[in-house]
Amino acid sequence: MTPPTRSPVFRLTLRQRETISGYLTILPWFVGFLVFTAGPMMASLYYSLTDWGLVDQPKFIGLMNYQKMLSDPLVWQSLWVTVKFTITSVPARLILALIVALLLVRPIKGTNLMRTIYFIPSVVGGVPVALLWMWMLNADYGIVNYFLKLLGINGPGWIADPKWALWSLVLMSCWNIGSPMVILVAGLQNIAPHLYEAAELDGANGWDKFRFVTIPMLSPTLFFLLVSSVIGAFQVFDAAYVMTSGGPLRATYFYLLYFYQTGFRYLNMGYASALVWLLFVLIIIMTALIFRSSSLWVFYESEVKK
Amino acid sequence: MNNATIVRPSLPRRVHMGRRAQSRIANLLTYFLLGVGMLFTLIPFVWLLSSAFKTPEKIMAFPPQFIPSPITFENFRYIFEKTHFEVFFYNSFTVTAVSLTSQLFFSSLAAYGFARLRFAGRNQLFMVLLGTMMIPFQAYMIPRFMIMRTLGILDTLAAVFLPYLFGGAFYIFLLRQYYLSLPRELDEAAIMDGCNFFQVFWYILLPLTKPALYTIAVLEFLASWNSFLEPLIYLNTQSKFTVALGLSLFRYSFGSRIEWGPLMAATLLVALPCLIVCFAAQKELIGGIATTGIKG
Repeated sequence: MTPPTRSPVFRLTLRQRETISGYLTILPWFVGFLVFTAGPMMASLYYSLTDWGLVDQPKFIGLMNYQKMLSDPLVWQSLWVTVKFTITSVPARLILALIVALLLVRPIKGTNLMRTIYFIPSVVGGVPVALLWMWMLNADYGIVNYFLKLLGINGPGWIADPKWALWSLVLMSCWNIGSPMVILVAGLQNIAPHLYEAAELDGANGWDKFRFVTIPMLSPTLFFLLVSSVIGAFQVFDAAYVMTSGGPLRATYFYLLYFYQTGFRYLNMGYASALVWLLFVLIIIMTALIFRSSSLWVFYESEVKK
Repeated sequence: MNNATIVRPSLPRRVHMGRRAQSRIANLLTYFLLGVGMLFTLIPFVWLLSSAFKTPEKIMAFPPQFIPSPITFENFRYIFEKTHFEVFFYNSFTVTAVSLTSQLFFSSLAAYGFARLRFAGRNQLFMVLLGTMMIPFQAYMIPRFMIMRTLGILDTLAAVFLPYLFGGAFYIFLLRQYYLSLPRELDEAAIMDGCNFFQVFWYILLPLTKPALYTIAVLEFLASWNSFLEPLIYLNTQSKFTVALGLSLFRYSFGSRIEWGPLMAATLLVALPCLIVCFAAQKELIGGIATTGIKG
């Protein structure tokens, strides 16, 4: 390394150089943030107040789009589909992930390999997973109905059946528990063994230890997973787009699918912007609600130590 | 489920059945339950693999075969004949390589600044950065589309990677934690020796963050390779498609009837790089997710 050569005219103090270098290091991120995140956020808020069909100029119409949304049945229908999916898929996935994680932290051999195997579905993208499950859930030749037949059950039409389509997507989402499982394993491994020892001295059985040690100590992790899974579930798009295009009979017409079609198929950019801002506000409200409720059920060790 | 299996490694306790026997039964039960779960996890992949190598007659066979006979490569030949699948791969590799390199460099640079250099407004800017991680991409999708249109790069690969050249908030957050864990004496000694701050970054600290960079490279590879909605809105021409986009439209390329054999062959090809990465980098990937908790 050569010592830096500086022009004697601009001799800056070390502190000044540190400040300038500091701004330079974050400059690229900041430019990207302004141009591709913050700017567009503000722009989309403005677009949501306009009537705009992409080819013409945005025409300011105040809150008309939001007013229109209130009486738009598709908004409510697609929100309801999204909510139904969220309240079934999120708990199901978290419970499954917790069961697997609890088994994986037991002192047995081969846990690393098994953890990787459980993780595989999460690395495959939304589109390949959707196509694979489309084939598995095929009513006539799919493997799911074949297994059901072996059990003597006549399988439904799955994604072709309006009654089953949404539950097919819930089932598919339960296949992919890799991320919550890995995070829960890490959370479980962080629980200090002496807590279990103390519980045993107090005569706790397996269930007591799970209920009064594992769950409270794991609750911050579960809380984090709950927030991120709910946000994720509200953004389901790939599977619905690829597998069902929202059908049959709009049974899987997710909110983002409605947004996408409004904006990019019917080129109603103003209304689509309003739709997405409603989603954003809903996500904030839900996150806030979960945060609010957290004081009731999330246990932070640091609160006690104080 | 059986709660007995939840109990952690047991400690001295009054024994009824004999501790050995008890823990052996518990272990067997654990293996059994995990085995059943793994079966459910793996069967779809087995089914994918076998469908990709089946002839059109065998794919509709009932009961289905798990090991195809005869094994055929016809499906693969078919997809390369009917579509430009090799072009989709080339496009996805380009996008991934460009965004990966750029993300690694600029995320590291910003993380170094946030972790090590003092400047006014640093902490406030870092809070802004954390805030951006919570904004769903769709919230700024339409204006981004307009930016690409104004720049005249709609329907080019540049539109797909341009927003991902400047350093990702999440990666910066992750790397900053890593930089904070490195001893400050390293920087101080280097500064004493006459390094400037960028030399400290490039020669001293960056090489020490290799494990974190590896994790981020894997995450960015998967994110970029699997990205669907963004290419979907930017790209129109087949020759510009990325793999996810090509695959999603592939199902319509036979008319109304879906040809499952070629479709599963294509699905397998698209999933394969991710599967390879998952196994090759399992430690970094799983470790990275465990410590930071990303992806829903």
